[in-house]
Amino acid sequence: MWNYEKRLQYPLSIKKTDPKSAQIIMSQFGGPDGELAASMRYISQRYSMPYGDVAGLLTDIGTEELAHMELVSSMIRQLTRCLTEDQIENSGFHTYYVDHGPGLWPMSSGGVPFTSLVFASKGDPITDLTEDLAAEPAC
Amino acid sequence: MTNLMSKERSMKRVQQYSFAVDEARLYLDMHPEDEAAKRFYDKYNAMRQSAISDHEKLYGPLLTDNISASKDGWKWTQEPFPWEMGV
Repeated sequence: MWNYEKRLQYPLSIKKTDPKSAQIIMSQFGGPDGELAASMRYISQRYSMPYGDVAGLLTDIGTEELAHMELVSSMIRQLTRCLTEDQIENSGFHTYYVDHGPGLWPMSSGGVPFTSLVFASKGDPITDLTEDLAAEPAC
Repeated sequence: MTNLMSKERSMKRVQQYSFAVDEARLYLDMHPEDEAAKRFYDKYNAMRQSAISDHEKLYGPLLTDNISASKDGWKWTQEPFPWEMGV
């Protein structure tokens, strides 16, 4: 069961919009090694984990990754609000903007939509933890 | 102290104590017998609750648990939201 705290885990205040940077950090939001992927990976794996301490850890980290996702999403929002036509056309952000405007939509920087295909959850503790090892340093 | 603190400072207190609690939680998940860690968790959890309470008195609810709807009204959906500029 999840609750929401109405705050960011870390303070954020980006004064200058920058859609090019937003495009670059998009993968940290919706990419294969991004925060959403991390959260879904751990929260999915925890159910079949035979050790309580590990299941607890996966639950707690998976929850924290949602807070991280919120941070990256907030950064993207602050970088892409109130863009001029010139900014949209000349930043490389136009391909995203055509479909999503100023909205947030989880995808990689390269445009691959978020999918469960980016993580493994196989029901075996060694396999799943090895998947976690593969994903974490890649962020 | 509360009245002298800006919203930013008040929020930063909540975030700092909360971060210590977050770290302690993950450590304790794998080391549930560590007495020093348990004391650390209890200390910063108490400071976090206190900082949250201080913040909510002046700047509105951080958790719906702490809302007294009939007395204070429903301010949960009031701007700004966390992703907006500043706090």
